[in-house]
Amino acid sequence: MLDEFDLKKKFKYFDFSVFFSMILLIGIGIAAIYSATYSSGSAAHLNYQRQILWAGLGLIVFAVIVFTPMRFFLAFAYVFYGVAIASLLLVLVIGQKGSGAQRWLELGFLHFQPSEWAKLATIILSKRELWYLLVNILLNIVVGIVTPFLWHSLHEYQQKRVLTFLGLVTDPKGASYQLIQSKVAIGSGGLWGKGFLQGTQTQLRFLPEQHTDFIFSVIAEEAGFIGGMIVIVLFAIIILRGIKIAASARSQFSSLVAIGMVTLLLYHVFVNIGMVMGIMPVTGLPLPLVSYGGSSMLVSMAAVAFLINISKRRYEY
Amino acid sequence: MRFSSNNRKVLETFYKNFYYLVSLLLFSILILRLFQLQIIHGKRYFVQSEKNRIRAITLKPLRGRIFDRNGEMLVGNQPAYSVYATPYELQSWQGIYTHLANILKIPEDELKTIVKKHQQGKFNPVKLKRQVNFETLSRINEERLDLPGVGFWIESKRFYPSSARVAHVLGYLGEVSPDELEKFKGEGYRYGDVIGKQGVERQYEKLLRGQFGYEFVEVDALGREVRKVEEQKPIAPKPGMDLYLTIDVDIQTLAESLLGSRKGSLVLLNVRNGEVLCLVSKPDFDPSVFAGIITEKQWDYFQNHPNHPLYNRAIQSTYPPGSTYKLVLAIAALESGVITPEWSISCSGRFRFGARNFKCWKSKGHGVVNLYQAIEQSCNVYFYQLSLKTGLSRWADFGRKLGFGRKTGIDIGMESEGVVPDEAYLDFHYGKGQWTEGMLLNLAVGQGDLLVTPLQMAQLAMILANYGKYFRPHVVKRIYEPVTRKEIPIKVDSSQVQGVSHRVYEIVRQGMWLVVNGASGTGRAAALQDIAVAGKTGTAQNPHGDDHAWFIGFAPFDFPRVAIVVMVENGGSGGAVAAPIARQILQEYFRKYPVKLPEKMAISLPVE
Repeated sequence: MLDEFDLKKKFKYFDFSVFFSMILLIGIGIAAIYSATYSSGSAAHLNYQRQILWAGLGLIVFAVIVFTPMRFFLAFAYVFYGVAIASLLLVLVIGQKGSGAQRWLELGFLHFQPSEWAKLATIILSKRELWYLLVNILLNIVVGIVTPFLWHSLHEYQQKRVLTFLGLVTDPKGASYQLIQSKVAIGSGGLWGKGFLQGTQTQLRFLPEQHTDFIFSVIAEEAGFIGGMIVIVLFAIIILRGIKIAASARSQFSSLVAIGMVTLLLYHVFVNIGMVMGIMPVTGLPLPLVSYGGSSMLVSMAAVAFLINISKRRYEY
Repeated sequence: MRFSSNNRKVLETFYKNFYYLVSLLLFSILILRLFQLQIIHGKRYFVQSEKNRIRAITLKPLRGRIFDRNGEMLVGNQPAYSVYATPYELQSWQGIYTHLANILKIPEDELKTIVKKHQQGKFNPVKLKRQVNFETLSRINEERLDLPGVGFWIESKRFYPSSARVAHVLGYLGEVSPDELEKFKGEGYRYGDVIGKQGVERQYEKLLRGQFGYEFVEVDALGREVRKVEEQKPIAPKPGMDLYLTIDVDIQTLAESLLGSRKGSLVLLNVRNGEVLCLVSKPDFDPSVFAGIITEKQWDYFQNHPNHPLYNRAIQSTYPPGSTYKLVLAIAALESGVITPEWSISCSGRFRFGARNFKCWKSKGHGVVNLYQAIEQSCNVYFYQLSLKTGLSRWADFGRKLGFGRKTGIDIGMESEGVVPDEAYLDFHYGKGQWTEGMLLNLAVGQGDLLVTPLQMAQLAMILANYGKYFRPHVVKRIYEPVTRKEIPIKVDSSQVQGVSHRVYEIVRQGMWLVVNGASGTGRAAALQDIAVAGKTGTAQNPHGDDHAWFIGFAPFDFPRVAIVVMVENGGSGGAVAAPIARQILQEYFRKYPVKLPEKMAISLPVE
């Protein structure tokens, strides 16, 4: 039985500013996806419905994480990591090919991308085991040294494949075309934007991947500087609050997990928005909570859930 | 890692502030950039977005052509014209649908459905009709002022200049289906594109298709093309690769005419590398029909006619092989050591087993026959008795060793495996203990539940010709890359039948020589004047009418070059119907590719 006092206590430190920022971003994302695929004519115009479904699923994941004690994650860090690695291997074996690289698992009607989950599992494990962090850094350095040698021993088509896999070559039309169109879309939005479903760049489908990686361009074109600012500010709220949560967490593990999630989100937000505005290279990173895609949605919601979990338990001992 | 609590506090404050600083810095960068793009340069970009709209247009590559082994063209490309319209214009102009319906001779409603179903936004043109004739084309051109947004694209279609149809090897193209669009998502197929549906066109789709190119054009506010963009260099499409088949058009043409209006199939294999020299399945179809627009009636014929003209009988259909399969039983019996070739029986025309009389095809009986004579004269009674000595499991075992019950791996696809029944199979289908050894007697003469494809039988002939060595049958000889002008030869894998000795092949081959050359051979009609042919006939009973006529063989006997299978559905006796067709094909082959003298002499040279 949960009495009133208990319930109050449970939500006393629930970080509503982070929670509502997340919800708003998801809502903005769904509207933008609706607009981005509105004139596509094909089945893609139903993508916003799937995104709603994913957000619903995400809320379940969110709730489970928020109400699970952190010590549980501490204890099972290895299990998560193992599952993540296993599913990555599974993708290599039976995965679906999405734009050249095997990154997908087919789960009924929905695609699933385990590499996203692996990021989360890695963060949790590396915060539990500092040695792992060190090994990871070392490994990165070794791979960094060996890679160029391996690289030149590959055939041209293999190199191309690797580049495609890494998301470095995503579009045959050339990245410059994408960038020009994206910058024109954003710039032409002006202060107030051209209005919902009124963006010419979006509706004439000049933008590549406009409902996934380039979703921010759609928002900036149709909702202008005001709309773009709202999105950036909402992310800033989540991230700045996240740092505060990390600083006042009750255990070192929680603190490190929180800062890991903050870093994950900040990295994605900066690289993605920077990319569409032409100040970062074109990579295949989605915008958390906003871009179309189930795995990205679930993982970014899970990341926010960890922050709220940690904030909520700040004074529990 | 442990710190004193004081240290820790300091450190955490430091980290916290560090993180705040970095985040604020990064967010400031984003906001400043956004400000720069939208507020400072906003006007300029807005003008650009209104005027300068660059769109990438897909350029389609020419599909690869297909030639026969000697470079005669089997499939080429021809220009064809498709009519398109822009949905936005169709909406905005009164009466344009009626006008178009009139010109294209497509009902207005149907036009509307096409547009609704396939439009990708208002401004992307939708293909309305493929391969329109010149009359339509010129009307559209003349009345173009009344038809805003309507135009035509030049595309290519397949044409077939050869005298041979080669239908089931080449296959055909068709419009990409919704399922295929889903399956090949990300490979650039769009509604209205064509894709290989059968045969080589399907199997080698990726090579034949080539790669899309792109061209950058400026379009106006309605999505209409204004000019080509010079600054952005177009990416030229990469034409598809040309294929050189192993097929010989002359032999193929002859084979097609020999089978004529009969149902059946014929395959000629090069036993030294597995090349398919001709492959016929009848009834066939005219592939050029598929290059045009298929009418409902034609499609219905292809799909539902009881003769199934689209079906490749040489690899897709399975039949009881009849007496041709006695060779497998002979190999199983000899290799297991249950008999020597001298083992004889007396054939009285029937064999009583249990309560049933199993008949020989010759009701008078063959008298006393040994293995050689039994193969030569195809004596059923001999093989009835042999099957009882050999047993079901050995028989099935050797059948599988000799390539039955699995695909040959020919590069046309959609191949059947056939069935080699064993104990487990019969238990499953008839129930344990519900079947008798009488079934084995039926299987011994290639009847009952045993099912093979004609190509598997040709493969058996190749195995016998090569003393166990066989190659994966294939129809593509080499691939020609038109851009680099490089030729890529096809690699052929070879295998060796395990557990059959040279001596056993020798004995069975001797029997096969007698079939064609012996005084009482059943396949004498396959004999050539100056080249020794070896073979085996078969006459398979079946529940669907007259017997199926079979002939398998190879030639020349001493240094084999080709293996053949001829199969005529409901044709009658193998010796009378199939063997003469085989003879004519072999004759044509050796006329075109004569056996040179050194080859006849080179006794000690190994086969390739």
